[in-house]
Formats: sequence, structure tokens, C-alpha cells
Amino acid sequence: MREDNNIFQEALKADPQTALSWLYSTFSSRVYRAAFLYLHSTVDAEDICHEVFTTAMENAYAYRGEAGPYTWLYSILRNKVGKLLAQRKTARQHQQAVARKLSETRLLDNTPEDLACETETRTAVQQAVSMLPDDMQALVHMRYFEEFTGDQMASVLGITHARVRSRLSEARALLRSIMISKEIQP
Amino acid sequence: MSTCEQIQKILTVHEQDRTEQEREILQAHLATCPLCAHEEKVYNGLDSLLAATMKKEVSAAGIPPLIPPQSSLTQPNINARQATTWLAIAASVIFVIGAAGSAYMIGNTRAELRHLRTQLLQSQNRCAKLESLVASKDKELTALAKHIANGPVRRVSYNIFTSNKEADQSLKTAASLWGYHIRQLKGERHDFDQF
Repeated sequence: MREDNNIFQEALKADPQTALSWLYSTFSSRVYRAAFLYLHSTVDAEDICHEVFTTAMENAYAYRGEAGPYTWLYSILRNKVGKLLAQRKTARQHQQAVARKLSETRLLDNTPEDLACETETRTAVQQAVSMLPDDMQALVHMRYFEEFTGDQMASVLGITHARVRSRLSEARALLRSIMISKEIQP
Repeated sequence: MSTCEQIQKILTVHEQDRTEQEREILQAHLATCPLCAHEEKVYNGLDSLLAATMKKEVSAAGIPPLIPPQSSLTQPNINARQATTWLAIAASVIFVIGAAGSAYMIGNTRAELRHLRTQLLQSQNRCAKLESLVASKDKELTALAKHIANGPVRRVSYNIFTSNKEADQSLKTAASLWGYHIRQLKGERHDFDQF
């Protein structure tokens, strides 16, 4: 991983255009998916994705190779998402938007019973995650969707590995109690 | 022996974040405690549900699955950049050497030109002197020819040699001597002109 970071860092110095082009073609869809998971909106995710790569291009000179290219992009994404969510007036507005977008999700080729059950479970899990504090939500996304290691998560959030372990542990305990209260069987 | 309370704390920690010691304690306890073993299943189920839900949410929104990119970032060709730099340095060195050589050759050519100009001036001076000498000899010859034509020499010759034939012969000899002298002068001038 460290070697990849160095290759990207050297490529940035030698030929920034090619390196940034590679960065976009390699990670744009991944960043877009991660953005969607936070914002639950394809339009917002596209905007944020664009902003993430614009910021990355503007700050390419500051890349030191301490984190992997995607971890670096993800930390930019986290900042952008945090600012956007802070701009939203109330948490209620955000939850309404989540509920609206969830109702618009595409139907899968399952039986109506399966579909209803699955959609219900998914909605309940998403609501449970959205009830967590902001940093815990980020940790859950990074661990379960991005499959980041503890070091990568620590790098994105700018905290220690021990703090990551502690906060993720609290998030898991909270999610378990929320799901039990909602009678969702994990 | 660990208590169930201690195990509950360890169970909240994600599997990837557990230490080796915690794993050993957990494994030993779960083998003997069905309640904690059930709790572990609950947490494992929670992990699977969270991962599956997030992935399904993305696919349900119509976002295409992640396709690994075809191209990969390779080590930048530093050698090419270095080669370009060295090429530029080599070109600069060649240019400097070439310029110095050209300056040296130009200097030499100029010195040679100055030398030739000096030689030319000397030759021109010599030529002018010779021309003035030729002109004076021409005048002398013309005067002598007139004198001969007027006959005093012939008369003197006749008086000396007492015969026309001998007088004529002596005149021819004198004329040929003058002619030789003039030819010599002219030849010298011709050589000078050639130079």
C-alpha cells in the first residue's frame, strides 16, 4: 500500500495530468457510491463527487503519500459531506429526504413479500444508522461499505486507531440496541 | 476465567479490531457459555446485515456495480525525464564548444586577413616604385630612340667604324641592349602583377 502511495506521489510530480486522470478513472465511481451512501441522493452524490475531484486536483501538490490515494479522496469526501449536512437546516429535513429517496428506490426482481420484507429491513437499518452521531455513521460506512482498515479510518477522520476501535465499538452496541427496539432480527 | 460482562465488551469490538489476546479469551469463553455464543451470533448477523444493506442501497438506486479500471498507474518514467535533461546539457555543451571553436577560427582568419592586407600594401608600394621606374626608363628609351632617329649616333658610329655596315651593326647592338634592359624591367613588373 505504501508503495502504491509512493508511485502515485511520484506520478503526481512527474506528470500531474496523467496521475489525476488515472485517479479520476480509477476512483470516481467508488467516490460516487460512497457519496450516495451518505447523502441518499444521486444528484447530491454527483455534485459532491465533482467537488471532491476538483479539490483533489487543486490540492494535489499537498499530497504527501501518507495515506493511499482513495483514503485521501475519502477524507476530502468526508469533509465535503460534513459541510453539506451541516448546511441542511435540521436533521428532520435530512430524514425526510432519506425517506423520500428510499421510497423512490428501484424495485428488485423478487416476490412482493420478499421485496416488502427486504425493503422494510433495509429502511429500518438505514434509519438506525442515520440515528447515530456523525462520526459513528462515518465509521460504519467506512467499515461495512468501504471495508477500510482501522488505520485507514483513523487517517480519514484524523484520530487514533484506539479511538476508531472505541467509537466503532460504541456504534455497534448502539445499533444492536436500536435494532432490538425495532424488532429487527440481525 | 473471564466474566460474561468482559466478554460482552469484547463482542462489541469489531472482529478486525480485536487483539490476539482478546480473540483467545473470547474463543475460550464462547466454548463454555451458550448465552455469549448467542450474543456473538447476533453481532455477526449485525455485521452481515449492515454490509448487505449498504451494498443493496447503492444497487437499488440504479448505480452500476463497481468495475475495476483497466489501466493501472505505473511508475513514472523518471529515466525519460533524466534523459531529456542530459540531452539538453549535452546540446548546451556542444553549442558552447562549437561557439568557442568558431570564435577561434574567426580570430585566426582575421589575423590571416590582416597579414595578407599588410603584404598587399607592401606589394602595392613596391609596384608603384617599379611603375615609376618603368615610366622613367620609357622616357629615356623614347628620348634615345629620337636621338637615334635624328642620326647623331649613326654619324658618330660611322665616324668610329668608317663603314655603314659596321655603324648599323653597332646601332643594332645598342638597340638590343636597351631592348633587353626594358624587357627585364617589364618582366619584373609582369612578375609583380602576377603576384
